[in-house]
Amino acid sequence: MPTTTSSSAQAARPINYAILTEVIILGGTAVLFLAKWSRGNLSFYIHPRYTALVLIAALALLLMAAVRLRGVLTVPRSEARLNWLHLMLAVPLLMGVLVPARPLGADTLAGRGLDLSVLPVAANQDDLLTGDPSAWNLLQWSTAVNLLGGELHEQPIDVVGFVYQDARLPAHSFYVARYVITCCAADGAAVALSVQWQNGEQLPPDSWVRVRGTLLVEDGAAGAPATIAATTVEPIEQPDVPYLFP
Amino acid sequence: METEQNQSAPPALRTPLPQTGVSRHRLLPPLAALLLMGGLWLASDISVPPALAPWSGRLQGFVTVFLGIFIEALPFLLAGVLLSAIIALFVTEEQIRRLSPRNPLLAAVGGALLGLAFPVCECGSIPAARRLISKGVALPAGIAFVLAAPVVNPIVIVSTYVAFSSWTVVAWRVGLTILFAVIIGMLVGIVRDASHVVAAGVGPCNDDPDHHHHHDPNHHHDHQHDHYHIEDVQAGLLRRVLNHATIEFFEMSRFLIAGALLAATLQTFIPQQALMALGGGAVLSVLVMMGLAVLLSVCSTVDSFIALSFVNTFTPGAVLAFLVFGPMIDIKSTLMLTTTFQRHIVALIVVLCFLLSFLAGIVINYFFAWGVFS
Repeated sequence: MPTTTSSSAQAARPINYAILTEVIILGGTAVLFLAKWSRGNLSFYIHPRYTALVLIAALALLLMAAVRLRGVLTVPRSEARLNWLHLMLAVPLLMGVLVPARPLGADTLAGRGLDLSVLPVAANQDDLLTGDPSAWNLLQWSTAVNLLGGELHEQPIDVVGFVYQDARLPAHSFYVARYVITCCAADGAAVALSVQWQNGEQLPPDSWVRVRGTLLVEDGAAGAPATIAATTVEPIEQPDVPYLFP
Repeated sequence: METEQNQSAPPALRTPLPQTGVSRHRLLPPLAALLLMGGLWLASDISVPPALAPWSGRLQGFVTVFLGIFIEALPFLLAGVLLSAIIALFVTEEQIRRLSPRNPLLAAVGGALLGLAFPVCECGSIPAARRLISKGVALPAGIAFVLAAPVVNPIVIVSTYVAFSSWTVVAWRVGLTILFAVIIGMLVGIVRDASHVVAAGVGPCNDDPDHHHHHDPNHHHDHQHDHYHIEDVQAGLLRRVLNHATIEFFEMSRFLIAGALLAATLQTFIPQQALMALGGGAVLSVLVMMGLAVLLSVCSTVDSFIALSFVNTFTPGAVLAFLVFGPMIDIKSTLMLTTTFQRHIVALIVVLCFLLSFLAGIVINYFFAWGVFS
C-alpha cells in the first residue's frame, strides 16, 4: 500500500467521503434532535425530564461534527474508507427523518397485548390519588379502581385517551387507553378502562376521545373490572403530550 | 471480526485467524439495507397500500420504541466516550500503574467502587473501562468497573432511593452488585492472561503509534487511529478530545443501535403479557424478571421506576434480580461489551452474571423475602 503523507494529501485535496459521511451523520443526528424538540415531539420518545440532556447531546454532536469537518479535506482517502458498520448510525437518522413522529398507540398495544392487571406505578399511590377526582387522569382512575374497588361505584368520570378495540370486549364497547412512560418509550405501559357506548366498537382505533360518564364497578371487591357508562364520547385532537408521566 | 484478532498478544501468538464469514459479510449489508428500505417505506406512510396499513402502524410503534432507547441512551454514551477521550489524553499509564492496586481482590473492589467517582451508566461505563484497560488498569478492576459502575454511582443510588423510598432496597441492590462485580472480576480477570480476555485493539499497547496494521482491508478502525495520531500533533486541546470521542462514538454506537433494534423488535412482536403470565413462583418469577430486564434494555438510572411497578406482581427476589442483573447485562450492553472483551469472555461474563443473579433472587425469596421491601 503506498503511504501518503498528510502534506501531500493536503496539496491534492481530494474530498474524503468517509469523513464527510461521518460529519453528515453527526450533524444530521444533532439537527434531528433539535427539530424533534422544536416541534414538541421529543416527548413521544422520552420523559420530558431528559429534554435538557438531549439538547446538550445535540450540541456535543454539532461540536464533534464541526471538529471533524476539517478532516474532510486534510485526511488522505487511504486513511479513512467508508464502512458499512459506520453507516449503522444512519439508521436512527433515516428513521427519524422518514418516519412520521407518532406516539405509542393502539397498534403497539395490539402487539403487546393489553394487561390491566399490572399498573405502571404501584407505589406513591397515595400521592397519586390526591386532588379532585373530576380532574383525575386514566392512570389515577386505574390505580383508584385497583385500590378502592366498589367504593368508586357510580362516581362521575371524565377522562381523555385513545380508542383501543379489543375483540374480547362485549358489543357496544371499546377501551379508552393511555400510555404511561417512566423513562422512554421502551418502558411504555398502557392503562385503560372499558367504555360502554352505542356502536363503540366502530370508533376508529387510535383516535383520541374525551369520555364523560359514570364509573361502574361490577363487584364490591378491590381490583374488580370497572367500566365507564358513557354519556358523551367526544372526538378530540391528540394532546400535545400524549403520554402520562407519573 | 476484530474480536478474533489479537493485536495485544506477543508477535509469536499473533497468528492470522482464518477469514471466516467473509461471504456472509458481503451479503449482510445489502440484505440489511434492503430490509431497512422496505421497513422505512412501510413506516413512512408514503403511498403505502391500505392492505399494509396495519403494518405501518406497527412499524411506527417500533420506530418510536427504537428512537426512545436511542435518544435516551445517546447522552450517556456521549458522556462515556468524552470521559474515555479525556482519560486517553490526560491520564498516563504511569499514573494508572501507580494507583492501580497489585492485589487482584483490592483491584476488583477498587474497580467496583470507581463508579462513585465516574457517574456513568452502562453505555458510558463500557467506553470508559475499555480506555482504562488499554491504559493498563488491572483486568479485575476493569471488569468489576464495567459491571458495577451502572449501579454503584451517585445518580443511580439516588434514583433507586427515590423510587422505593427505602435504603434497604438501595443497600441490597448496591451490595449485591459490588459482590457480583468483585467475584466476576476476580474469576475472569485472574485466571486468564490479559491478551486472551480483551478484544483486539484494547490491549495496553494500543495507543502506541508504531502499532499500526494496514494488512486487513476489513478492519476499519485502524485508519482512524492513524488519523488522530497525525492530527494530535498540531491540534488544540478541545479538538483532540472531540476527535478522539468521535472515533470511539462511531465504534460504540453501532452496538447501541443493534441492541436497540433488537430490543424494539422483541417489544413490538412479543407480548409482555406472555412473559407476565409466567410471573408467579419463587424460582420462575426470578427468571421472568431477569428476562424482562434483558428485553427492556432500559438505562440503569431509571430502571428502579420500572421495577417499582412490578413490586406487587412479582416476588422480592425477582425484583432485586431485575435491579442487579439488568444494569450488568442487557441486549445493548452485551453487544457493546464485545468491543472491549473477546466474545467467549463476554459469554462467560453473561453466564456468571446470570447464575449469580438467579441464585441471589432465589435465596432472597426463600430466606429474606420479608426484609427487602419492608
